[in-house]
Amino acid sequence: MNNEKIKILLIDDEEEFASTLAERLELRGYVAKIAKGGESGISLIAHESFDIVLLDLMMPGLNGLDTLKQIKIINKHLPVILLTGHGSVQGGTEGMRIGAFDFLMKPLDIKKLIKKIQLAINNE
Amino acid sequence: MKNINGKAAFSGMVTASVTHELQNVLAIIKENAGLMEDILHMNQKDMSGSGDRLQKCIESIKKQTYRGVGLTSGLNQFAHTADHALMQINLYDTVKKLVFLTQRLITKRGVELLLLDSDQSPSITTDPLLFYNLLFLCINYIAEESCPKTVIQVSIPISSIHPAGIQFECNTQDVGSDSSARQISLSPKWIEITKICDQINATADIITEPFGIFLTCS
Repeated sequence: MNNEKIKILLIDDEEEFASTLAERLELRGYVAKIAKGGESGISLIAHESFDIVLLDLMMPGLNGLDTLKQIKIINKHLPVILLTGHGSVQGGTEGMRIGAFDFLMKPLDIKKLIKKIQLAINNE
Repeated sequence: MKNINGKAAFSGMVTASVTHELQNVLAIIKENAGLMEDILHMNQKDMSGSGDRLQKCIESIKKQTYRGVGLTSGLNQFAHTADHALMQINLYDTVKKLVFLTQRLITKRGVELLLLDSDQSPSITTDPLLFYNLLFLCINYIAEESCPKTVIQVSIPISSIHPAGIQFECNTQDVGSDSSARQISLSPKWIEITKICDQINATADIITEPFGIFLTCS
């Protein structure tokens, strides 16, 4: 799949992190949209089509794992990559058990993230 | 947080929460440094000589961000030890984390810590916070008995006699020479060590030539 057609939804309550990462992804030819929390992310997924979701685990309100469960109910084939705090391996592995494609630790290495996005999309 | 000292639990909870926030701060700094790098690469031709200087600044920001992440991550894990009355811990991993977190405190005393690699380090079930405290007190005790520039070597020897033990030893001979067994047993710092040992079913013994402490855990 061509980068220009790949539409990414980034769900993270840290707005500055999400907007900067979205800008970096757009510089690489992706289309990136931001949701500030689990609820708004789920609402977007219900109404719009995305190729992949980048989902923060630790969010106020609906947390990452609960958001992931909801996403999988709406579209079980939509690949989700979890973003966790450094050292929070437990949450990441729990997420993979629920259906996440993989997890990455923050701060992100953009090259690793791009590689993981491509892998997840090609896997689908 | 059942059966945990209330003050320790509160302190751990606040520290864990703040370190998580700090990690978010560092992630934002790192992402912005990355964006600056992207923009720099796109405009490299227009930057003339200042491009290299800017790249150097960005590298420094990224390097220090990862350093900060390592420290906050270690502190976050340490703070979470207050969540558990008992927990299974690996001896080598625990010593490694403690050495990482207390390096500055030990260096201030003029001594250096050297942790030897251990492939077959055993795990024990213990009170993790008390165990960290005990390890630090042992290192601190030896540091105070040592002369400056001493290297304290920490190892996890595997033997059938001591299936779970930690050895702290100095690389110099002229330390602890005036510490007779009686003096040691009356020292307030040694009493503190033995008190914690009693609480977590461990024993601490002074070793000589080279001077150090052998900690037997169970």
